[in-house]
This record gives sequence, C-alpha cells and structure tokens, in this order.
Amino acid sequence: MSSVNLTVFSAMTVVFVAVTLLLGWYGYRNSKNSEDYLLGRNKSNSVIIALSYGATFLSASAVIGFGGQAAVHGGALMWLCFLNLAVGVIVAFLVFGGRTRRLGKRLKASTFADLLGKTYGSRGIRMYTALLIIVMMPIYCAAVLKGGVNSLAVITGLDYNMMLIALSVVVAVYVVYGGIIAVMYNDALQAVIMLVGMIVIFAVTMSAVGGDGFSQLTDMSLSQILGPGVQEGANGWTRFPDFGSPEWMTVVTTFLLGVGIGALTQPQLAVRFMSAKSDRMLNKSMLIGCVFILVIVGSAYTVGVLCNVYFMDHFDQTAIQYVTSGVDFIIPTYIIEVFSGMTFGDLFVSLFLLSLLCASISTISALMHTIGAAGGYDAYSVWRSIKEGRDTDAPSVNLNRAVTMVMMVLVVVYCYLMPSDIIAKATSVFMGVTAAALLPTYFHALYSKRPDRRAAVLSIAAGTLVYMFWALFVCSGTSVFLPVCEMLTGKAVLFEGILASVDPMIVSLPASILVMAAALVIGRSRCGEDAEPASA
Amino acid sequence: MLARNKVNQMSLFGIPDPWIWMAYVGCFACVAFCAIWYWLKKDEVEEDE
Repeated sequence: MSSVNLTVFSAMTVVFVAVTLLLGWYGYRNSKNSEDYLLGRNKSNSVIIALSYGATFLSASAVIGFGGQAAVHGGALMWLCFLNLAVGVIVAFLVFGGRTRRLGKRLKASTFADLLGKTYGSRGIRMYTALLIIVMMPIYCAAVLKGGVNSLAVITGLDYNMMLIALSVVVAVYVVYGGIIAVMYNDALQAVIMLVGMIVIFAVTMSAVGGDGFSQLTDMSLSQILGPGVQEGANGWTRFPDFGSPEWMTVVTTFLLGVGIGALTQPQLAVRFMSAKSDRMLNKSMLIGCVFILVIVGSAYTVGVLCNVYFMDHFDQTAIQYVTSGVDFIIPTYIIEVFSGMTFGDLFVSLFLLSLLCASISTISALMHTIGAAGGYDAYSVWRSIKEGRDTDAPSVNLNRAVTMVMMVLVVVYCYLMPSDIIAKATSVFMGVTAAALLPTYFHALYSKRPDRRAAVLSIAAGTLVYMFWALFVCSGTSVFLPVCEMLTGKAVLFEGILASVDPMIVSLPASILVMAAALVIGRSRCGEDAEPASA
Repeated sequence: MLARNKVNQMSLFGIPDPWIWMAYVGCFACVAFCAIWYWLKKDEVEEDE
C-alpha cells in the first residue's frame, strides 16, 4: 500500500515527538504532589479540558475503526455521531460533569474509583472499580494501540514491531513522568492536529466525489451494495436497515447504543470533570468539545460512506470489496488513493498519518494514566486500609509510575496476542461492561442524598454477571474472542437467531438498573418498617 | 438541497431516508444547544457546594 513520502512523515513525527516530550517535561515540573499527578485540579483551562476530553473520547477507533464501519454499513452510523454528542458530551457534562466536579472536590477524590468508594464509604466498590479498570482497560488500550500501529505500519511500510515499541516508549515516558498535566496538554496538542487533518480530508473527499455523492450512492442498486460484513436487512448506504433485521441489530445495538451510552462511565473522562475549577468552565468546555467531536467524528463517518463513490468510480468496486485486508484499512487505503498524484499529496498523507498517531496516543495516554492510578493509588490505598484497619489514602507518585510502566509492557504483550480487526469490537466491549457495571451506581452516587451501598453492590454485581454471561454465551460477536461456550457446549452460542446479534449491554444495563431500583425500594421499605416502632 | 424523491419522502443532500438525514440535523442541533446553554449560563453567579 505504501506510497508515503517517509522523509516528510519522519520530519513531522520528529517535531511532534519533541513537542510531546517537552509537554511531558512541563507536566513533570508542575506535578508537585500526588493530587497534581493524578488530577491536576486548577491546573488547566476550559479549552485544554475540552480538547483533552474530546481527544481522549475519540481514539483511532473513531476515525479508522468506525469510519470503516460507516463505509460498510452506511450513513446509519451518523447516529453514533449524534449519540457521541448528545450522550457523550451534553448528557455527560450536564447530568454528570458538574456534580462529579463538586462531589469530587468535597470528598477530595482524585480518581473515579476513589469518588465511588468515598461516596458509598466502601473499600469494596473502590477496589472493584479499580480492578475493572486494571483488568478490562488494558484490553481496550491494546486494541487502540494495535489498531493505530497496524494502520501506520501498513500505510508507511515501516516495521510494525519497531513502531509499536517506539510509540509505547514515547507514551510511557510522558505519562509516567508528567502525570495528568502532561496527558491533558498533549491531548490538546493532538486534538488540534486531528482537527486540521480531518478538515483537510473532508474537504478533499467532497471535492473528489462531488456535491452529489449521496445521490450517487442512493442510485446504486442493492446488489452492488451488498458485500462482506453486510447482513440481511441492509438497504444501502443512504437508507436505514430494516427494523429488527440482523443488520439493524448489529448497527443499533452494537455500534450505536453499545458505544454511545458506554461513554458516560469512562473513568478517564470523569477525571476531566474533576480537574475543572468551576461549572462555568465545564459549560465552555462542553461547547468546544461538541464542535471538536462533530468535526472529527462527523467527517470520519461521512468520508467513510462517501469513499464508496470514489472506489466505485475508480475501481468499480465498493470500499469493502476493494480493501480486502479488512474494515480497519478502508479509510487508510482511501486516503492513500485519493491523495496520490495530488499537489502536496505527500504532505496531506503525512498529516493524516500524524492525526492517526495523535488519535491513538491521546487515548492510550489517558488510559495508561487511569490504569496507573487504579493500581498505584486506589488498589494500594485499599490494601493499606485493610492492613491498617482504618480508611486511608496512600498517595505515592512513584508507585503510580511503576504500575503505569508495568501495565504499558502488558499492553504491548496484549497487542501480540489479540486478533486483528478488533478495534471497534474492543471499544464496544469495554464501554459496555463499564456502563453495565457502574452507570446506575455512578448516577445514584451523584443524585442521592443517602447513597445506598447495598443497592450499589447488587447493581454492580448484576450488571457485571449479566454482561459476562451474555458476552460469553449469547452474543456471537463477543463470544468468538473467548470461546467458553464452544468449549462447554460445542456450540458457538446458546441460542441461534436474532438473540445472537444483540449486544450484551442492551440486556445487562437494564438488569443493573432494575436491580438497583429494586434494592433501593426494598431498602427504603425496610428502613420505614424499622423506623415505625421507634417513632411509635 | 431539499428535494422529494419517487416515494414522496423528503431528501436532504441526496439522502432519501429521514432516518439518516435526521442524524445529521441532530448533530448540528447538539452544537446549537451547547452554544445556547453556554450563552445563557456564562454570566450566572456560581454557588459552590
């Protein structure tokens, strides 16, 4: 695939890495204590928070993973853009953001697990949240890292192993030394590069396919459209799939709801709220973040859909028919093709590659910082509390750094173990399991005057167990990664048919909510019964 | 920009299905909402709990 001018790309990358490390040093100089390292409260402004939130929220998955899915499944994926904005930004900031900031400040919480643990007065909830992060987040992180490096290696022709190690070392250095301040300032830099890159790609695409790109797609016959990955019920790139069909189930439950709602309980995003100085700052961040995500995601999905026009015009094939190496390579292949022979094409291809690098790094750095904090601060604090027999916080910047380093190595190992073509699925699984386990508990923590620990524990347990059962035994999309069902029963999933297309979060989140509601009702009625004799 | 196709559905930028183009409209509505919210709240005195 490679037709990249490596001299241009290398020069841009060297400058980028130098600035990145400089910002890492800035973070190191400004991290005077554990709170600075973990949270950076009052150390950033609304633009930094917004861009950091947006860049962390969007990984390379948003651009190449879901952009590629848009090329296959069509414009229905734009609902994911809408959900990212409506749920991932507006609901996140208005319903969760302000209260998270105020509660975090009042309880002196430095991490998401710390916030939940202190709200419920529960070491168990804090430890469970930390363990969920330590176990699940490296898989998501590895998917993001693998996806970014894989695309870059294929496009540039550079060695995959060399790029994987180099990228991991750069991220490790600035996260380990600079903490959250380095992470957030680097996120902002990377967000600006991503913005410029996506605007250029969008403009070139509109110019390449013409203003009637969607009309051309609409006029194509359904036999031309159907291809690998498209399921029964698909109606083309400009029409929504038939309600209830396998295609509808995949698009709606896996891509739209699985990722959109899951964004609310991302520990790495909750920390951004807690680092804000005021609610007014959050309101400004919400506006900037919304514009940022619209430009990046909206452009990626629209380009994904419209690249089919380009591939049909030039090669008489759809994107997925032409790009046989997989969905994740549709956007990179398209970029190489569309910019080849164009004036400054080398520069634009390198800019796209740098945007891809930025999208990966911004998410990975935030995830690594969160994993380090979960292990080096939350898990360690709980262990010390149990050992000393009293609740205590044990902030140790050096331990955080050590955990981050060890987990970074683990993430690199995962990259070699995980299958390819997994970015979108891994994103969906991570967001789904955190939402199912933690969303009702998080909401209850923010809105209840008397947070009920027992209800929270039951809700977390129900959400986790139902998610795991459905993911391993019912949903065909997730059971392939860990074929427990096949080992036990000889079948890939327990039930054939439509149930196999339903994402685990669609079932587990309502289960978690119902258990929370039932436990609260029972708990309150018991309190009432207990109170009556006393007041009589 | 706006047109009606054969089955009398309104199309936008060549997208015939309202279920698709409404997603685009929704995205821009989100940005508009954020701008209005920020404008309304920017002078509000903040009470920290």
